[in-house]
Amino acid sequence: MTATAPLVLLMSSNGAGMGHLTRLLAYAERLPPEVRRYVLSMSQAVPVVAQYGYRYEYLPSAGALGMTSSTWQPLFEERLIETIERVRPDLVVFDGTHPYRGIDAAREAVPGTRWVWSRRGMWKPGLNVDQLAKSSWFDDILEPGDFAQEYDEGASASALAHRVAPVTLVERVDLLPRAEARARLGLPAEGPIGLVALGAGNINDTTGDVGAAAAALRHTGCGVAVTQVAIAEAAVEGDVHAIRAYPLAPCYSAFDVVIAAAGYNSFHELLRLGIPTAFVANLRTSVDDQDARARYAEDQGWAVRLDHVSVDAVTVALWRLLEHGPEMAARAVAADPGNGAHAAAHRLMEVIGR
Amino acid sequence: MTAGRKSRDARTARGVPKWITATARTVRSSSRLSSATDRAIGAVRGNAVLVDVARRVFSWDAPVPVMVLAAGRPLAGMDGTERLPIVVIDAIGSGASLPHILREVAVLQGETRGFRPVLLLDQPEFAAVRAFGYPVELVIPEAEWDFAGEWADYRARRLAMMLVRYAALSIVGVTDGQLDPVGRRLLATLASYRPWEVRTT
Repeated sequence: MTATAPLVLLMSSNGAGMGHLTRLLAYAERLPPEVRRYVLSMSQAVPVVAQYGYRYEYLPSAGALGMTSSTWQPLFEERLIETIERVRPDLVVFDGTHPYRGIDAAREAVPGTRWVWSRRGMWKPGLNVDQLAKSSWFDDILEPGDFAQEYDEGASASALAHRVAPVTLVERVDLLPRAEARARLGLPAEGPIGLVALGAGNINDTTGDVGAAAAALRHTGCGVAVTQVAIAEAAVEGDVHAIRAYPLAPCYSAFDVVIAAAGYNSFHELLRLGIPTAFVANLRTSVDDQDARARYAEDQGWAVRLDHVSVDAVTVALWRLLEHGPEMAARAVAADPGNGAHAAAHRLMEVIGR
Repeated sequence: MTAGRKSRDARTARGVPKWITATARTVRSSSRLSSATDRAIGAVRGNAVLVDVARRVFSWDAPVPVMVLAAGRPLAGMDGTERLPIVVIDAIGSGASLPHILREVAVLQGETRGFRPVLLLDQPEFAAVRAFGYPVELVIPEAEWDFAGEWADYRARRLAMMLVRYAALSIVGVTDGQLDPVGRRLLATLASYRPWEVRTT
């Protein structure tokens, strides 16, 4: 690490899924080619960044260790400072809704490094308010926009930030032709297939979300694909396709319908890429107001919102999507202001140059 | 006389009031309350008398430090795992032997029910470790090291950090694709050498 080109360290918290990491990759891929990128992540999915040619390190989260946050914090701080002192980045971009104590200490330890907080909005109303005070730890606050920002009633909605359009790693032009996408995922070339992207669950239990969604897909004559390999392997009925791909978004064209959680990345990728979708809000997130996002998409006529998942409810949603999904998705595509990742990368370079 | 007898009964052999030790037990068994005591440690630091009281009350002098940390699937359902010793398994360089080493650790852990491992790897085999439910740390592989200083010092510092931050009892290395023989014996010994089970009340 002796080169003189600017070095950007992309730091992600853990959270549910891969949202933080994917958003950072969206920025990183739009930085000028001479910029060196380095990833520090609390996600065990971090090795995926190697396919982009980025080096990475893993810093376990309190949750992954089963530690109390107060016991974990000194570990985090020590590891972070060691990494920053060794890597010597010009800029650190932290993506998360909760900047951990220790970031302030790392900033003091290496004063030449600039810090940006990539802070998506749509916080649940009244939650996480105290975190806004940590804005003072950062040189700049970057807010990736949200299609549903009109419904953002969270504490960050009125806070100072440099706001850009919704950010996704992939663009609409990255969407593969259907046949190519199906071949890449190992799916049959013919017949309708629906993707269930609702996280973990028991596919054989139709009283659970994953099982109900799979049963509904079968009722409507669709093949079933799931994003969790373990779910597919546990299927009693052997017609479930396990999807292993990162990023998956370029292959969304393989699916006729998608039943997905309304997390930031899935929501914006599916709408931006024009995929007929039924959104299910994950209400167990700590801060992310997925319900507001799903409601907005439904109110705009872009997608179907499922306020509960049962075989009957999903079946009704699927029939609607199979009939009207393409026109609904087209409305979302028409409303897309464009990918904010370019503007975000530009802003990061401005911060380095200050 | 009666009052004196009552007074003695209300204290442990070390002179600590029993209500305090009962409270401390409750605190130690609760991750939330343990967090509060962690903050209390900072508050009494530098005051020798208060530190001594806190040390006795909150078992800072316990033979094995009490630490809330994932114990792993082989001990699923076991109570009191926060009292078990933590051991760093330095599996750097284990390569393709890692699955065998993980099984070796899991079998030993299941037999002894006497330790909690934390893995240190130089390969991102998270799924393999996650299958056992063990905490894991990752270092940059030696072959990819291009920072100032020597990789060996970087590795040593990580091990030192893990000993401190995980309050680990020891480091067990890997030799020829299996646990180092001395370290393996150390782990096996924890089946019978169990000072953390001695109650002070």
